[in-house]
Amino acid sequence: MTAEFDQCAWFQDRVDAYLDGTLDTGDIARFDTHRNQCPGCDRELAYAGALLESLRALPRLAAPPSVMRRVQQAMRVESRPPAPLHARIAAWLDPVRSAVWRPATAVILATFVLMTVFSVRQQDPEKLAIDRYADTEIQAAANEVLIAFAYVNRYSRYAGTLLRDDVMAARVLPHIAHALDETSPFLSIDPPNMTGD
Amino acid sequence: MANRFRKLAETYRDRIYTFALYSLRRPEDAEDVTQEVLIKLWQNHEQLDPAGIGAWTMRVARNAIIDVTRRRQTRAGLITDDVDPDVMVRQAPSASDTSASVEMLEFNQLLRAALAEIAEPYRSILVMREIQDLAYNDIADALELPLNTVKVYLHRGRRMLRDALRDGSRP
Repeated sequence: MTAEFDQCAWFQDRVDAYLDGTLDTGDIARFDTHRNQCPGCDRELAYAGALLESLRALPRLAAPPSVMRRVQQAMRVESRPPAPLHARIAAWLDPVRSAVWRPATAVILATFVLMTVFSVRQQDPEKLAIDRYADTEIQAAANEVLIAFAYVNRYSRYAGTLLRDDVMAARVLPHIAHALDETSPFLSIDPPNMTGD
Repeated sequence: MANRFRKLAETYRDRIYTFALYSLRRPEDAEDVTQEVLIKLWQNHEQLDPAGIGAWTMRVARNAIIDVTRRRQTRAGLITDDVDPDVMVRQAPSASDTSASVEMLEFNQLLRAALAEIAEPYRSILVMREIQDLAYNDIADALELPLNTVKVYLHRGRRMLRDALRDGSRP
């Protein structure tokens, strides 16, 4: 029984090779012998052969003409040169599209303007100074800056840096004043007395 | 349309369509695949090695078929599994047909249905080899498989097809 089963399994494994004509010569005789002795395997071979014949008889199909028409259409679209810039802009400004993007642009612009105005108000130095500091505090700070200038002028002589007053006035103070303008433009500082008196 | 591409399209369009239709069974899907492959062929034919265009075309077709199959799976349930109506029309039995030929048509429908259900790459190999009669080498190139693997898979695919039809109608 086992030997017979083994023979059937051996046979089944070689059905396709037999049908293709690629079975080894030595195996063909064994294959045919088993086929003549085993009706089940003989039926299986007939079934496999008939099925293969049916499969090979299925028709090769012709693509409908509409396929080539669609291909040609797609090729025309793809090979069309890009529209000139002015035409693209005109298309973009098309009134139909404007109905969509104009309100959106208006909203964006209005938001931008409101934010800008709000931001400028927030950053107005005069308003900041008025809101945050009293007049006396601002004046006291200005006085301290003036005193600092006078010290720089006076002690530069003692330190031997030999900065002359005209050099201080022409080359150093403008940088300091510029830096102050950048950070605190609301401070109007009178030029210090550079004589040191 | 360039002459060279026109010739290529004429050579391969039916092969692509046949492959796609036996794989997907829906004519509209097969047409879409054929169109997609031919457009890619048009875009690439000047860079392709003429000797490898056939294999390249079938490889692109197979990838397109797999994409369609995946899309179908994602919307499973919406797609009916009706038999291919185009093929049915072409092969509808006439009054002169005998009952045996009608039976054969019915069997062919079962055969097509079973073939479309065979897993990849066995189905592609069966269609290319048994229906389209492509050479083993061309199939191996198209599917990027070793030659011996193609032969082994072909036998395995035939056996799958036999098993699928065993409980149904016999030829």
